[in-house]
Formats: sequence, C-alpha cells, structure tokens
Amino acid sequence: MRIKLKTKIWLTVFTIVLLFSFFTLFYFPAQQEKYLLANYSNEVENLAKTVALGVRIANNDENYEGIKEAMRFVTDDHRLKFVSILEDTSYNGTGKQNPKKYAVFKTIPDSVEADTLKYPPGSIIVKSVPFTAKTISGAILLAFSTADINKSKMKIRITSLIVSGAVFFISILIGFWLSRHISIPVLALRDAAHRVGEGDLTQRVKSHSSDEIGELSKAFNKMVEDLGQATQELNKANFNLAHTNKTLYDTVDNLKATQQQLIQAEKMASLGELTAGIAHEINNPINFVSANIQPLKDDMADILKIVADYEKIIKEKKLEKEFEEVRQSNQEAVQKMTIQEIHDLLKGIEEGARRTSEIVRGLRNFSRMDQNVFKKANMNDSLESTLTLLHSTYKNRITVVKDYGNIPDIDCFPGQLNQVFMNILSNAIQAIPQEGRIFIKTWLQGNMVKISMKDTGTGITEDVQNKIFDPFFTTKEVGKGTGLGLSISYGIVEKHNGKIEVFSTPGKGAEFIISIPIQQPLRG
Amino acid sequence: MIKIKTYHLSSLHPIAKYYLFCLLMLVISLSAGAQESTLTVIANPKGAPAEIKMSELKSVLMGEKQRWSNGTKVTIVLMKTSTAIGRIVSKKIYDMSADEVKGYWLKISFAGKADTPKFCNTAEELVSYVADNAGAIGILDKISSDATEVKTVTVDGKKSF
Repeated sequence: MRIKLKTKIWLTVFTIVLLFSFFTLFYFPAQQEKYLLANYSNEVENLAKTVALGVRIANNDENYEGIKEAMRFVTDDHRLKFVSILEDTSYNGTGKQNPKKYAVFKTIPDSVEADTLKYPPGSIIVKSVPFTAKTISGAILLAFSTADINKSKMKIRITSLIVSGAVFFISILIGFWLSRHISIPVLALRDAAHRVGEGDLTQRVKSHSSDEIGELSKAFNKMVEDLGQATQELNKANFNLAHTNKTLYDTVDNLKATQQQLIQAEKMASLGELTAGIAHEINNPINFVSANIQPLKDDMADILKIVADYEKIIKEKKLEKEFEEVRQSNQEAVQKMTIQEIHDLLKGIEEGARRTSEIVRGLRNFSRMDQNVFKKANMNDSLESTLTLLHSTYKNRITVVKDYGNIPDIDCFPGQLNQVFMNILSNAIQAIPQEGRIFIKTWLQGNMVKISMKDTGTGITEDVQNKIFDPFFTTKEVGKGTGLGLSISYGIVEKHNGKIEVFSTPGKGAEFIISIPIQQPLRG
Repeated sequence: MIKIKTYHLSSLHPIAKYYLFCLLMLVISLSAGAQESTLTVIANPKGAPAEIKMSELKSVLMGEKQRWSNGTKVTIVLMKTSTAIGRIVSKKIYDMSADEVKGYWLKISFAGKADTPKFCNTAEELVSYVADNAGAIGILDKISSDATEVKTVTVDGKKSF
C-alpha cells in the first residue's frame, strides 16, 4: 500500500504527540496525584505522630508544652476535620496484654464526632497513630480533608490539558514545517525527475536548504545538466554520424556510378577495340575495291572507245553487211543499254565502296582509344561520324538538318565526345516515334564551341528534366536502358570543363546544348 | 522497699506474712497521710492576691480563671501528680485521682484552651519557679519562713489547709 511521505511525516508527528498527550493527560497527572496523596498522607501521619509524642510526653513527664505545640500545628491547619485521642480503657499501666477497648478521650473540635464513616469516601485522610504512656494508652486519630489535594488535582489536570494543547498546537506547526521542508522539496524532486524522464531536460529544482535535501537538489540539477550535455553531444555525434552516413551513401552511389561508368568504359573500350579491329579488317578489302574501280572505269572507257572506233570504220567503209552477225547480236539498244548498265554498275560499286569507306572512317573515329591526353579534333567531323553510324536507325524516317558553323578544332578526348553525341542523337531518334526532324547546329561563342542537337520528338517534362542526368534514371521500360547514357555524357562534358544543358517543352521536342572550351589546361 | 527486721520470720506461715505486710503498709500510709496532709498556697509577689477564696483557688487551679484582677496572667505551678504533695493536691483541690488530673490537663492542652501548669519534681524547684514568674501560684505542703521571694496566700483566711 502506498503511503505518501507527507502522510508518514504527519503520522509520526501525530503518534509522538499522541504518546506525549497520553503521558501528559493521564499517566503523569495520575502519578502526580499519587505522590500528592502519599505526601499528604505522610504529612498527616507525621502530625498525628507528633501529637502522639506530645501526649506521651505530657502523660509521662507532666509536661504539656509539647502537646500544645503539636496541637497548635494541627488546629491552625484549615484542612483539619478532627483530631481525637482514643483511649484504651482496659489499659492499667501494668503492661498486661488486655483486649483493647477504644473510646474517644477527647476530640477537637468539640462539636465534631470522631466518626470517619460520616465523611464521603476519599474526602478525608485518616491516620491513626498508637501511643503508650505511663497512665494512658491509645491512639491519635487525625482526619484531614482532601479538598486541597482535589484542588491540586484539578490544577494538575488543567495544566496537563493546557500543556497537551500547547504541544498539540506546536506539533501541528512542526508538522507543517517538516512538510514544507521535507515533503515539498521531495515531491518537487519527484515531479522534476518525472519530467526529465519524459525528455524535458530544462528541469531544475530550487535548493533552499543546506542540508541533505539541498544537496540532493543540487546533485539532481547537476545530473540533469550533465544529461543535457551528454544528450547534446550524443545528438551532435548522431548528426555527424548521419552526415558521415550520407557521405558514405553518396560515396557508395558515386562508387556504383563510377563502377558502372568503368564497366561502360570497359565495354566501350572493348567495343572500340572490336570496332577498330573490324574497321581495320574491312578497310583493306574496301581499299582494294576503291582502288580497283578507277582503273576498271578507265579500262571500260578504253574498250568502249575501241568499239566506237570499230563502228566508225564499219560505217565509213560500208562494211555493214559483213558485220551483220555481230550487229544482230549487238543491237544498238542492247549496246546502249549495256554501256549504260556498265556505267551504272560501276557507279554503284563506286558509291558502295565510298560509303563503306565512310562507315569505316566513322567507326575508326568513334573508337579512338587515346584517352589520356587531350587531342585536337573537329566537332563537325565527330558529328558526321556519329550520324553515319546511326544512319540505319533513322534513314527514311527522320530528316537531319545540319548547320555546321566555322568552328576551330578543340582540345578533347575525341572518342568520349563521340560517345556523348552518339548518346544524345540516339535518344533523339528514339524520341521521335514516327517521322520527324533533327536539327544539328554548331557555332563558336567566345572561347567556347557550342553544339546544339534538337529533335521534334515527344519532349521531356520538367521533373524528368531535373533528373535526366542522374545515374540510373531512365524513362525506358525495365531492361531497355541502363539510365547511364546521359549521366556518363554529363561526366564526359564536365571532364572537358564544359557544360551540357537541356531545354524542352513536352510535346514539342527537346534540345541539348553542349558547350566546350576550345583550349584545355595542359594535362600532366 | 521496707525491710522488716524480725527474727523467726521465716518460721511464720505464708498467709500470716502476707497479713503482717499489709498491716505494715497501712500504718505507713496512714502515718504518711497523717504526716503531710496540709497544703500551703504560695504565689509570686506580683499577680496573685494575698487572700483568696477556696472556690477562686479551685477556679484558678482548674485553669478556668486565667488572669488575676490586676491583669497578670495566671501561671499554675504544681508538684507532679506522682509526688505525695501532688497526690494530695489532686484529691483536695481537684477531687480527682492523679491519673484523672493528668487526663484533665491532657484534655485542656489538647483543646488548646488554657495554659497548663508547670509540674515540678521538687519543692525547691516549685518555689524557685513561683519566685521567677509573675502571676505564678503554687501549692506546697509547707514553706519555710525565710523564703522571701514568694508570698503565702491565705485561703479562706487560712494559711494552710
């Protein structure tokens, strides 16, 4: 059962007061009265003895002074009810033991009857002191009133009542004081501790006294302060930890992106190698083809000239009849067709070879492996190579409008920039669902070369624009894109100390503008 | 103890011894009585009158009259009742036995009513006391004529009775 501290204090004080009251109101007065009575009894007995002595002397020596003195004491006392000399009438002075027969010899005051039974019990103290003298034997009977004692008793009771009351009153004051001094501070501490437990670390307890409670209050305050500090430090540490965590997360993301970039770079490198290899392999045969076309054309021209010379002679010499067989098989139309056909075929071969050469060149351009040192390259050429490579994906569907400016060669990693153009242009192509156009423009602005690639595709919404360069962000279906193309492009442009921007209105296409400085700081 | 000088006393019968003894006691007491039965009243020169009536004497000695006519306080001086004179006084003046006189004065003193007499062991003491205290009055058997400190009081005209 929980008993409050205040209650305990009050109960203690109350118990003490109760005990004291009991003592003061009952036990102590009772004791006092007992002693009072005993003293009184003794006094009366002593008086009676004195009287008895006086009687003995008076009777033995015939000297009545003693008894007169004694009687003066006795009769002057207002408490006297009566005093009697009782005489043993069977006494004859011989010392023989006779059965005693008491009779009243004399009573003072005269009017009073020496009958103790006539008085209410407790109202008198009666003492009887026997004496034996020469010619008289008997006892002194002394009766004193207890009225005075009763008055004293009353006084004692009243005093004890007053004292009890005073003590009670004082105890209430003490109770209040103790309460205030002990209970209230303790309760304040308890409440403060509760609030601290709930998180309020601004709690402080006032310490008024210099005793243990005051010390407790001070210790409590210090403890809460320390707690506050520790919490603050903990929070700081947590914050730092969170920050570090964030940094770590960012680092992890960076690492992941970098990993992907590396993988991509590796892929690209391998691809580049492969491409370079293929290009190299194709180059040779194509060179054969290209190289052989012109001589073939020349030879064809020679042959045609010979045939034409023969025709001329036949016509001049009118040898048509002789060459009728040949003529029949070589009709003019067939001749003309054959000659035209030969021309066309040769043209086709030439065109095919040329184009193949172009593709090879484009591939080579694209797969440039030198990535450690800036090289001078022309962006217009890079764009052309890239378009060539992409030709199959957009031919017959998209029209590419080129506006190449007069731009100088720039310090760059050509292979990487090719990658960027490839990425953006292939995105543009994919953004145009059916038919459309792509506008490519290059120009010089200050010390920056600017390349703009605009498409008439579906466009990019604003919040996608905000995320477009984020790694792993893609609007394509799962498995259809890594989401890394633009982020890698962004990184490459940044490596060139350049800038890449996107502008788009959804439904009206998008434009990417890349700015790259002409000159780069020397790389070690 | 009175020694009885007699020859052949031991040869007497015990009863006879007893009767003889009693006779002797009687004679002695009678003779004692016969010897000293007169009383004389003396008093201090100041206080008591020269003459006094018996009734007044009794009144004084009983403690009823406590002051002399000149205002002096009465002081009674008597021989102890255990003495011969005391016994005679008890009988003659108080008409009581010695014990009764004692009882009387006991009651008086108990009651605090009057002063009690001074009881003396010897005649000289008595005389001397009477001489020293104004208003004192005492009773003796007789007084020698050369006692000038005290005066004799005649009772009913008699110097002794």
